[in-house]
Amino acid sequence: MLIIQNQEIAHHQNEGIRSKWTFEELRKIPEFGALIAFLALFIFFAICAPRFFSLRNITSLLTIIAELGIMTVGISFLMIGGEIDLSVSSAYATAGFVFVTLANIFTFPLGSLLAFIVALLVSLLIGFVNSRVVLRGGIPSFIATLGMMMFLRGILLGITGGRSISYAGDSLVPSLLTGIMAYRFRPSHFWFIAIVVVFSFILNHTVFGNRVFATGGKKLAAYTMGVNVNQVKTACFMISSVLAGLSGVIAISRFSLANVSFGQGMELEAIAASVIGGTLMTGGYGSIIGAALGAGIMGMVRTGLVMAGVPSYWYNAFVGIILVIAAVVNLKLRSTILGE
Amino acid sequence: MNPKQPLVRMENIQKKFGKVRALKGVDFEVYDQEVVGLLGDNGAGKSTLIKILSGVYRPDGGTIYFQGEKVDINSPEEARKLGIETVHQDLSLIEKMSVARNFFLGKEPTKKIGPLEILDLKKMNRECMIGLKQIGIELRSPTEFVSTLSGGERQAIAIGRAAYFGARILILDEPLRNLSIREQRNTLNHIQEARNKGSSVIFITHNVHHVCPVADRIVLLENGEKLGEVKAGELTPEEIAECIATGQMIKVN
Amino acid sequence: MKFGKKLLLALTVVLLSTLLLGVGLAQEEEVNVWVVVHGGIADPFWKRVEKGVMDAATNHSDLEVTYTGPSEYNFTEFIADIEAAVASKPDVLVCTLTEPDAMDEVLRTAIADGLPVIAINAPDLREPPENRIPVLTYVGEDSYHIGVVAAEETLKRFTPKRALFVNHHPGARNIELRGQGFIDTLGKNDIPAEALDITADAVQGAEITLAYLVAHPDTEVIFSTNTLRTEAIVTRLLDEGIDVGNEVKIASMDMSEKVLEYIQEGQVMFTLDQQQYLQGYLGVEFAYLHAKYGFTPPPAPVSTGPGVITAENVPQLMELSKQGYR
Repeated sequence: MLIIQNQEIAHHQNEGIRSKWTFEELRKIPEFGALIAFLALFIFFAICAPRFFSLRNITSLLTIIAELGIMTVGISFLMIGGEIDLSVSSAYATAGFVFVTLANIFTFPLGSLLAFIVALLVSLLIGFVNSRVVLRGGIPSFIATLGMMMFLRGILLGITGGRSISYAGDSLVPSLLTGIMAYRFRPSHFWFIAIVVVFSFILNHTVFGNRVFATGGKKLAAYTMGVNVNQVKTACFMISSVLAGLSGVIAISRFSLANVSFGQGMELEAIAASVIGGTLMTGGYGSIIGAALGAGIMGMVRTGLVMAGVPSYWYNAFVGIILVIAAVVNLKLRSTILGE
Repeated sequence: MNPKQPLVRMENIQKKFGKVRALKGVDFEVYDQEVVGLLGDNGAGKSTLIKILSGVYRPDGGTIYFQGEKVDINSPEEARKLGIETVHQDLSLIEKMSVARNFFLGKEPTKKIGPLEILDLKKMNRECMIGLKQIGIELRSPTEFVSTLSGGERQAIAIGRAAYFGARILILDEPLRNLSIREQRNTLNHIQEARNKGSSVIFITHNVHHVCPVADRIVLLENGEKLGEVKAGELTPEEIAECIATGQMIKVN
Repeated sequence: MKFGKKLLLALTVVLLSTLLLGVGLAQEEEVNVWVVVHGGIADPFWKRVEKGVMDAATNHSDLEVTYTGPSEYNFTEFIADIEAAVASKPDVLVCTLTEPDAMDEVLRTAIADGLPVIAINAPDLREPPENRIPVLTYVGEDSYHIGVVAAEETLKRFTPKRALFVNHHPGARNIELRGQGFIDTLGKNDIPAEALDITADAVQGAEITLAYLVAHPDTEVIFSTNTLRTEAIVTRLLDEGIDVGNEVKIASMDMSEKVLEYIQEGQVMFTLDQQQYLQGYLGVEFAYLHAKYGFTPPPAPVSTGPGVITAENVPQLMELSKQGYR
């Protein structure tokens, strides 16, 4: 119970250092479930799929995981803040389209850099509009962002007619984002890790992050305590969109091509990755590192199955099962932390 | 300053919701370092009166004086700035966060590392324990999630938080609801500690037995009007309950 | 650890090692061919390709074929599958080149590392030819030739006053070439013909086609290279009261149940079969022969048709369609 003897406090504090690494304590880390799942799947595929555990394949996986992961970090942040964004895949495609179109037009030096900045600004704008519709319009974010997703796809389809647009701009931004390095590593792998570190830090070690947890956990309580919940949510929407846009530009740089169909369905993958990583769909609880691990799992499953010789029809079924299992496991682990 | 001058004086407060007159001209004072019980049956207007004081509603008529000066309280934020804090059993804390993070929500301490301003978690954890201890709450660990705590414990933390941040007035709306006997006893202790530390407490309830043990003064509302006021001990709890039930004031001897 | 647990652990390790060793050994004896298509592989069109691939696989006991692709067309997944295939170090890779620009880097690197690649179904048609991905060969439609055959078959039946080619995938080089072959061949016979962009939307495309007919009432033949579009256009024109099959004749490509019905009933003159079964079949055969004996396959394009489907051979076609060959 609440009131305990002073002796017990002292004892507990001494225990603190020793008990940090026991299973009991480890279980309480929000990322624990995702980490175990990631390692288990990795080992599973390394055994069952020939050449899965080869440098070539690992760098390929990192490429996929980095792109999905950047989008997942953004959407996780927003989910922790208590909202959802289904328009991330459209922000991804739109940013890619804007980037390619402008880079092709800006033939002056550093043209691709300017195109990149504009593409990111457009992504921020998408997030901002989403936030206005939700916060001023009073529309649930699921609906609002669903509408935005379809709206953007429709516009892109109308403009491009389904045609692919080839990249003809300078190589500055593409090589900075996704240029092939030694052993097929790419800068995007490092950008991804950097983004995970930065946003995990923001979430856990800043005033803003504390308020994101609060806003997602119980909006009314946060408001009562003086948190500007609208401001917090707006920021979260914009983070979600801009990271999705960044992911889109990276993918488009890799393919040297933009097509309106790119990224379709990716919003569900990102949400699944987020949930597998331990983020609560109802908000207020989650982990950015968990999101990264979730993206790692989603990214590795498809390739792992293909290389293990499983017919690709089974991919979706497999992912579905993993998602549900992960959700159940995370629920159980969470209840030990939250004492629910 | 005149010791007799109230900390807060609400004069002739009126409030209408559509056709319903919730408050018909109520006078209400709160003095320094006192526990005031605000009693009345359901619908008497207690919650409405208090929501006006805490900035959630604006009065349709009447004036509010804070430390002798006329004020307009237009939002919960403005109320908090004056030092008026409301403690809810359900709405004051966020279950999925730790006690320390809850404690400092909205007023998070930071430290600078280079150009970055980061959350001073060590300070939060430490200060949280200290602040709660000051009103008699011994917490197991500041990093425990609020969801592991009982209703009474949560409320205690909310009270402790308000006292720590120097609330002049704590508003508690039915604070003993749903609590075990032991927790009720603890909460009443915390309320007294908060008063001893310098805050005033407005204790709203329709159950006279909840408030009598700690109240310095009891104000009775009936149907949007002030029914009467008694000091501690002037009437027995049963007599006060009779007043509420009948809607008529018993004469004080 | 208790003895029982140690024993279990030891057994597991032994089993796993044997498994891995077995897998490794098995691989050394076989010819490994990976087939990656952009699909979606659940699409009936691609099921024919898959049957061709699998039938060819049964021809040789030491041939191990892996066939994969996204179950619904998704370019990112397709590339991920290509990467997985390359990482698996097969003896030959057979794949479609649906977006040569985007696939250039990964395939070129793989080829430079010693992986032979055979393209099927969709070729690299970028100009100039030196820039194309250096595949061993390409098995599939010769797009220009298909247009030529469409024109020739039309001319065998009658001489239209005016002809129209409808493009349902503007920007796709191979479809443009089909139109080109059609228009050029008719042009040689002094018949005016042009290409029309009917967008990616089937309903809208039908409306645009109708509008064209109204503007050019002397149009007597329409060539569509997509079954869904053919169906949409025929339906729309019939709705409008146009005597499809007499006033306006239709030439189509690929097969669907409805299109075959239209052929039997006379609304559609014929359809051209790109015989995608052969793309899978020959692709794998060439791959095996190259990997095992070093044979160089015939140069690109190894045209798999087109077969001409008319009312006469529809009954036979329907049967073969049920069996998954055509």
